Amino acid sequence: MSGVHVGIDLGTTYSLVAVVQNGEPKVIPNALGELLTPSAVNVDGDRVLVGRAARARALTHPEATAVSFKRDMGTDRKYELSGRTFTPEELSALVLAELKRDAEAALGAEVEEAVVTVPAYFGELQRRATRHACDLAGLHVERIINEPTAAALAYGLHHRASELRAVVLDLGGGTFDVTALEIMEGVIEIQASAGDTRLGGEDFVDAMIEHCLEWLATERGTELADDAVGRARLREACELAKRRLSDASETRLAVSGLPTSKGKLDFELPLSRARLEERFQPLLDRMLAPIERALRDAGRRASDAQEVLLVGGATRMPCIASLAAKLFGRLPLRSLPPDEAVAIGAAVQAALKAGDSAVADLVATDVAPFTLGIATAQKLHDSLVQGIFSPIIERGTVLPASRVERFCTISNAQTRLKLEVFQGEHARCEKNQRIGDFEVRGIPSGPAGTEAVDVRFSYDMNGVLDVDATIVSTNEAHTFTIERSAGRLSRRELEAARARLARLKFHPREALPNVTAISRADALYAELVGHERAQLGHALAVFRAALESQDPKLIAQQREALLAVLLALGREALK
Amino acid sequence: MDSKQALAELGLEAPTSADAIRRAYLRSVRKHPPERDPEGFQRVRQAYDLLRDHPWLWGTTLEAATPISNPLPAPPPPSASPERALELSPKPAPVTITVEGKSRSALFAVRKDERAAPVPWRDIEDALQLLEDGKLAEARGLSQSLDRRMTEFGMRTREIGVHVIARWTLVAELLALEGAVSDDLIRALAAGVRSGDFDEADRLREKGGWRVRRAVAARAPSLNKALVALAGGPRFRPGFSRWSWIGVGWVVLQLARTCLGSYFETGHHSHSAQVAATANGANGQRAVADPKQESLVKAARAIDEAVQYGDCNTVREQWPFYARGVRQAGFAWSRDNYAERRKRALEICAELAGELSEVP
Repeated sequence: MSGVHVGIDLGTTYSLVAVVQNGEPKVIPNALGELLTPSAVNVDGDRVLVGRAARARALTHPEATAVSFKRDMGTDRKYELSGRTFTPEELSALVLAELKRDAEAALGAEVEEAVVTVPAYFGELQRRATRHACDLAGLHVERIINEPTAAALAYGLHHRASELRAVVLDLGGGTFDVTALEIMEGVIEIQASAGDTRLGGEDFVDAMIEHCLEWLATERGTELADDAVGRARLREACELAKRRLSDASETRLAVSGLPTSKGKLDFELPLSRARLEERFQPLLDRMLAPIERALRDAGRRASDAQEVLLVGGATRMPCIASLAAKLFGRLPLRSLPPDEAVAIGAAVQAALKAGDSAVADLVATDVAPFTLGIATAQKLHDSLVQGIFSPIIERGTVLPASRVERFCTISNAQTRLKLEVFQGEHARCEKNQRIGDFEVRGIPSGPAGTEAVDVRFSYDMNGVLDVDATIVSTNEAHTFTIERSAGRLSRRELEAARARLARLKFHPREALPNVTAISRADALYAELVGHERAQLGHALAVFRAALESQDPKLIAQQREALLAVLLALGREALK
Repeated sequence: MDSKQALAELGLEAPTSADAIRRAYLRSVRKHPPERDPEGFQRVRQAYDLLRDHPWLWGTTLEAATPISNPLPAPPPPSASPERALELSPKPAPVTITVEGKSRSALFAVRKDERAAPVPWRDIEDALQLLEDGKLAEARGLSQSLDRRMTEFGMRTREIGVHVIARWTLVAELLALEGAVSDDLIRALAAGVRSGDFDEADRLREKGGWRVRRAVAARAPSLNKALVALAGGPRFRPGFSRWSWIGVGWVVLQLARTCLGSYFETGHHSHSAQVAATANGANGQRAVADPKQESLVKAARAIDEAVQYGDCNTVREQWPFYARGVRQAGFAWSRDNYAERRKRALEICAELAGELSEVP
């Protein structure tokens, strides 16, 4: 075997890479020995940092750090980091390249192909942006699968002999997906997917920040100064408090030296789970619509589900489990580690695609999460109403699928037909996403409505859409392919972006633990006061001196000492 | 594929239940997994879809499948105990809109009521009525609730019907006009959409001047076409001097040249074809108003009737007048009928040993 086939979960907050070896899937640890690599990029001078070190530097250098960029995939947003401009695709590419290096270092073999996951509800543009990111990272990616599908595969791997109906709720850092599936006769059948691409753990943190700001305004009569560092630190404190509240019902959110309109402020805010869940209510309500829709598309009732699976780090919040328990009338299952399920499923899919005999008897079918169709016009009162969306492949159609519809000319002597392809659920095209257009020429001239064109859509499992248009009277066929790489970026722009990324300098892999330790210590240093601060300052200085000596043994020794101090201070800023 | 082939594809002889078909399908999927045999899988799926959607094909009556209107359990009744803070709070009170004395709750409540029957034509007619009554805010609320239902709850275009969506587009265009033109014009346009009579709207539009005309053309292209086609085309006010007519003509000519030129240059061929088609439509409207062409239409009708009854004498009598008239008037307005009519006229004359005198 020349190379390995891996599965990558490219998440909003964390990314993972997994592989199937000897029939068992496992997550590959990164250079720091951790399974989760934060999806964060920091530009430090002329060097680029990815992962945990970058996440730590988000607290001390928020203007030079990008996080949660997955939410902007497929948009024109630009990130400005230390004077360099990055697109969300490029930032994702940096994370993917890091994962690829980790996998190659851990497995001692080259990554030949990868399967990357996206939220089921990612539209065509967002999927294309993800493919661009893979291209930029030098990853060969043929297949992009939906996150809940991956979770279902990870789950189905051990349950393929049983027969059951399940619902997967996947609440990640930035997205929410619902998938209804059924396992029967050894086939994992995905029946429906729905979701919300802008609802995730980060929104719950936003709600907490809002709560803190309101508390500051009413109790202390002050507001947060317009300062990126202050905001980043408040966000981090809220994130940690949110995690503590997953186990405890009450906690205290303590922040020292927060820059406010009345100068630096130290405060401690008591938080109770019940109080916060009131604030979360609008977010929890937003989860209902996708759940309802997925169930209705699958033709099922909530009470039919025999298992409810929770996937994604944000489902650790008790309010999510309680919501699921109330809706489905049963306790949700957390047999899979919520952070790792998607990556494991992606690895299973990669093995399946590579023809690994260990998973050869696993068969899964997936559905199209969106409706695909073309724009048509309609005569009303003798006038043309344009922009009506005529579906060809409806959402919920099992893939691969091929469907044909007949359309006819609307005006006399019409010899050309413009096919505009849209994706979405609205009846009017302007509310849907446009993914391409073509023109069919050479239609024989005739009265309106007599000449017809058969439009066939063929959608395969790799997400490639082929459009065939056949003029009925002449039997003349035109074929178009909506290239998955044809998107906002042209081939030349892609080359330019790749060259730009190649010029970036990275910290050498061996140095990563040191850089990460310093970044974490710096982040905690800003939090601490008094004696603790002095203690940490001393440990940092000793470690820096060790680095100067360039003696690997001494460096390793002092790094352990510094990490021990970080742990001992007990206020570990970052997980 | 017929039902026999479909059954063979799934390896079945005589199925007894929907469940048996489903199991046979899944067993076939294992033989033709989509990953390794996409063509085989599509065949299996086609067979399964056929049998599942047409239960009468295999001679069994299926227990009537009831569509699931509300998959989620009903929310618990509100109570005051502190534990309720963990549970789902009741939904916000729906906004209520009154249309012609009927109370119709919009937003969330409509969604719940109509989940079983998501056909929104009633809502669209209500929105048009609201627009006609000048209640723009309510109409917008209703339209937004429709939008939300469409995207969040996934109504299917096929279930709604294309004509309803066309009307919906007109409603959206009317709402887009808010602020750009007077509310009176919006009211008149809404009335026009409902009744097909755009004269009042056309009068108001002309009164508003070029700003209003431009706003209507830019924000409501479909409505604008309806206006042009149905309100008798552009009108010019009397009192223009000869020079201003020449000026207007020149401007129109230049505009037409730039428009058509840019369409062809930028590849908007289909658009220019539609523009031409609309112009033809307007010609057709005016053709009837022209007495000379009205007689032509009468001749055409007479020919059609004669062909139907096999009266070749009348055909021969009417044909020269009709054919000459059509050539003089240009083919544009009657192109679709002329060739067909000529063919039938020739046929009937040949059949009854008559001769059709064609105009050179």
